[in-house]
Amino acid sequence: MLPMRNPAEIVSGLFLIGTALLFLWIGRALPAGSVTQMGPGYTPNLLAVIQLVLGLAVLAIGVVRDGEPLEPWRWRPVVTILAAVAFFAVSLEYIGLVGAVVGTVILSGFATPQSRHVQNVLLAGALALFTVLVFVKGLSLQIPVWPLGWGRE
Amino acid sequence: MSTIDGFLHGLALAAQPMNLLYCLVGALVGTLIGVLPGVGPVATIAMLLPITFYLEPLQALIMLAGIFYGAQYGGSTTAILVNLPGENSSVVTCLDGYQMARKGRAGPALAIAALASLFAGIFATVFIVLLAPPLAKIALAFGATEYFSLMVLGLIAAIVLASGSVLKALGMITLGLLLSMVGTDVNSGAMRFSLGIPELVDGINFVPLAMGIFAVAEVIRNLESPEPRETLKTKFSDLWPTREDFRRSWKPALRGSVLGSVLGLLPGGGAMLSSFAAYSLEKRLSPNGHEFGQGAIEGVAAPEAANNAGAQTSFVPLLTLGIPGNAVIALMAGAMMIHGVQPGPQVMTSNPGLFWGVIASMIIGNFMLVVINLPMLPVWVKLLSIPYRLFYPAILIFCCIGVYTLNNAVFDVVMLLVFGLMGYVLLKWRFEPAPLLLAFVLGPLMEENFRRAMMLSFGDPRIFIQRPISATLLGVAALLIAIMVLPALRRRRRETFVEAG
Repeated sequence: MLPMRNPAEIVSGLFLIGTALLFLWIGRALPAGSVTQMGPGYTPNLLAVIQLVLGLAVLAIGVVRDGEPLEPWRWRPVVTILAAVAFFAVSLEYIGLVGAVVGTVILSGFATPQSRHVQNVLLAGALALFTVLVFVKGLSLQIPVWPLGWGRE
Repeated sequence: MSTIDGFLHGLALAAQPMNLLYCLVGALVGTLIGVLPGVGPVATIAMLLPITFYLEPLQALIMLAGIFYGAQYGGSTTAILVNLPGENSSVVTCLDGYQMARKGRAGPALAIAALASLFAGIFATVFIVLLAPPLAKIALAFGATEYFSLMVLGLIAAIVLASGSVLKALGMITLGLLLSMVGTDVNSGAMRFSLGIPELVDGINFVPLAMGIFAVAEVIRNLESPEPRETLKTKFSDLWPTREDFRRSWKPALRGSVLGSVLGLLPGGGAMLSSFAAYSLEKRLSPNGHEFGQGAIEGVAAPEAANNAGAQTSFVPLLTLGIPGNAVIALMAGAMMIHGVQPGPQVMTSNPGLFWGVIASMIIGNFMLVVINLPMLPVWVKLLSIPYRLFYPAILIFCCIGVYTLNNAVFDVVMLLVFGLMGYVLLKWRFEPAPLLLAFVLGPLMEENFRRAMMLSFGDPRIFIQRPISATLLGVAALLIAIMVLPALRRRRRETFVEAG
């Protein structure tokens, strides 16, 4: 096993290589065509190969040269914030805007230990009211406000 | 239409009540987010993109432009009063502005910052008016080959000024281009990378991509470290600068305006680079150079003039060449495309009202900013005491609702989540996200022009170096890469950023 002299660069190189290979693999069936008559696969393949080379170069530099260690991930904000967005996506069309906003705000409050939960509940209510007034009443957007069954199918 | 006629036409358009209103809204929102640390113009504009659907294109662009240069004004307020840069571009303003504030001269510092910005705003607008039409005329003569080379140069130049690894920035460009190719291929009608997901047939939507990478990822990033509690340490009573302040400031403000206007044109340039460059230039030129860092008024006037000028002239490449030079301008390009306006040299002829209206609104907006800001200073300062934990849930909610309303599709919220995670990963692994966004915006045009150029040359790639304009553009791009890779110069570049940051 090679010593990890520059883990940040090694991971970055692998990321570029991985995404390039992913594009090559998903697009493997796309006809490349010829230079004069380019098929849909021509430019993506070209770009993916360039990115592959760049990724290998970054990886090589990461192996050879010393560098800074990887920044540690702070899981709490990552998981909480993404979960809050996911909750909004999943719930909106079932429980409506009010419920989705309240849930998302309260959930997102867990992202930092500095949150005060009473304040967050109040904030959730205020934002729900504000978004209904602005987006539904003001801009008359087609967003469900209340849960399914409450006057809508 | 002559330049003068065009500008007057634009002024008349910008002065219409609704347009004035959106200019005011943009300026106010810009100042607000400029004051608040942790909320920048990129995230804000990304957040507001869905709302611009409901506006006229001119109104939308006037408002978004106001947010960008308004943020430059707001950023200086926090820098001077609490030594906390509200924006990256006001980092250097902290150095002398805060020192002035500690000496009880916060008022004059704020006033000079605002007046220097106003002067720079007017200067930059005149600069744009004189420069943009000839530039657009040149670009109109470009064929597919030249256009492709120009876009290559634009993307390469955008990463020269970015900090961090050049190879990784190039990787961000290829990734951005690849992401822009998802969806139906316009030439063959074939489906590319859509994974059988019907929502991806029209490609990846620009809005959730920009919002995820810039707004959601930024929220997570800001929550990683506990919030610093900033209290107002300074008082300000006497706002008006002395005669001596004016005498010392006007030359730095003028030099800052010129420098900012020029640097703003460069891809990857804009407000931040301009302010750093103006500060170091002034430090060398000024007879009071030894006072810098201890509250020299020149150290406030020059960077504040430069960042505002740079913010404004960075619109020039977009409006004349169709090439966004930084992330904010890439979002503007997205806003134009949402309204069916393809950014580029043809905007000036096909859509003169939009072109001149936006430019003219900048003058109006700058006046508004000074008139609103100085009396409203106490309000902005109050806002600083609202903690970030009350902001970020609101940012999230606006992002979620914003992307949902694009197509009334939950799928777009899912994309927001995916790109939010990706944005965080990129930040953690020190990738610059801006080149990805620029490449994503330019991708379809680049592919189209590449195809056309290759068809014209019967598949001979030498066409790019046989045509003189194209060869020059690519030559400059190659030169830039060579400069970046050369070790000696790279060290210099790193030092500049260390000094700057």
